[in-house]
Amino acid sequence: PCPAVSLRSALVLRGSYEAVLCEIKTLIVSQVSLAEEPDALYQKLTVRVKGHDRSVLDSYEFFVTLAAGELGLKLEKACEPPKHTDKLALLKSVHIFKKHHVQYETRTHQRRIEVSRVTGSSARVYLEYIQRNLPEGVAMEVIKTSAEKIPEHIHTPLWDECRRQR
Amino acid sequence: MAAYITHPALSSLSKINCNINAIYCFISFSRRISISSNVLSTSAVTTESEAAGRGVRGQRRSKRQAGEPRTERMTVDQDWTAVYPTAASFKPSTVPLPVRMGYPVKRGVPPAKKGNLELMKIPNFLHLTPVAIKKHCEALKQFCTEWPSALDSDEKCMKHFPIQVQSKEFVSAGLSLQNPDARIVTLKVKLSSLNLDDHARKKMIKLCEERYCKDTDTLTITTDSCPLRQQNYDYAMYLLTVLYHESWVSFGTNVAWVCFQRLNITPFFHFIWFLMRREVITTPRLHGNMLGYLWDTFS
Repeated sequence: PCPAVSLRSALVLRGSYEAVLCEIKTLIVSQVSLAEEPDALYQKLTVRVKGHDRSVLDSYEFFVTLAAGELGLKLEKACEPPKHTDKLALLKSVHIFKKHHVQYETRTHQRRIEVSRVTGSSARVYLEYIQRNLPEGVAMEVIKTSAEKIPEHIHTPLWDECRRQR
Repeated sequence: MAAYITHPALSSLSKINCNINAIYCFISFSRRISISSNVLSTSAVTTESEAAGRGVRGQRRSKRQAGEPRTERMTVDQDWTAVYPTAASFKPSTVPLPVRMGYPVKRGVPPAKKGNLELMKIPNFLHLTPVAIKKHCEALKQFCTEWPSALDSDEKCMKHFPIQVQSKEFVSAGLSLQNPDARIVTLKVKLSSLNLDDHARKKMIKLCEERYCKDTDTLTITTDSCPLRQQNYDYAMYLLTVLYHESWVSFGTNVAWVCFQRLNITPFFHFIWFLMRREVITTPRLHGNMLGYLWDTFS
């Protein structure tokens, strides 16, 4: 029976809160279905995060590493590449006083987290979870390295078949 | 009753009105007093402080006093995921921690959490405690799949899946959500894993020019000419296919190749090259400039 019908029937027949809750749970579980196409294989998944606040990135790294561990993904490394600083020297005064400048700087901290040997479904779940909980003011870059088989049309050269046909 | 209550608003009203006209002033004065008395009688229960803060109009809503903060009623073993289920700003009355943040002015202490803007500005991870993360992952685990156990090392991966396709995704806030670098696709493959014979391999290397790295025996194809990532991926696979099949093509050169191989007359060829000089022989095109191709393969 289709899931919508069973939920409606649960509401009508039983009407109790616990019954409806377990019907919803079965709904969620029944929505996990296997697709026909094979799962993609990612040899490496690199997540790079950049932000202006180091403590925010510290907390985010803790969250990312714990989430990877809980979902059963293998964490290769979680390192901190050196920060990038943009410096700017401007005139302190509105008019004249060239000898007096004021210096500003923008610090961009970054983190690099590498997860190895992930399937396509797990990668999609993990990345969506990570990206939904990305804090304000933090940017992310994901580099996916997928491993693929040689396609069938590259196995043997075309000219051999042409010669055989002649 | 109204006559005995001396309200500052009333007194000011009476002053203004009496200046205009005597009769008009008398009527308006009485009317205004009656209206104001109604107001006073309805709000007779209000406290002194609120009466003092009332405006000229006298019809402002009374402000409720804030009750005790929620932290007073919190137990130590409560479910924190119910207090902060999603990302929310820092609320001092909801977080039972004695947090202080800010610059200690005049060698003092950092300001307390009540009304602290610094604590509200910074993104907090109160909704992502280890307990909460474990709960989320428990619910998400059913959508994950396991890595095949037979491919536990990198060498086995490369043996069965020799082609590596690299692409990037970006998440950031800005004027535009799109990032033009997201469409770039890089395809890496080792020539040793492709079905190439000696001649085809050398022709392939010649066709690839700088995309081939001799040390790692890797061919790298980077495509960014199409607007979508899927299109760039298809183009990269198309280039690989074309390179492969063209490297097996050998019209005029194959006979000469076989002759040179069997008769083993490489010194003769070197002599010819020396005679003709290097500048005359150009880089071979797809179907092969015979001498140039021979020079490249033998030198």
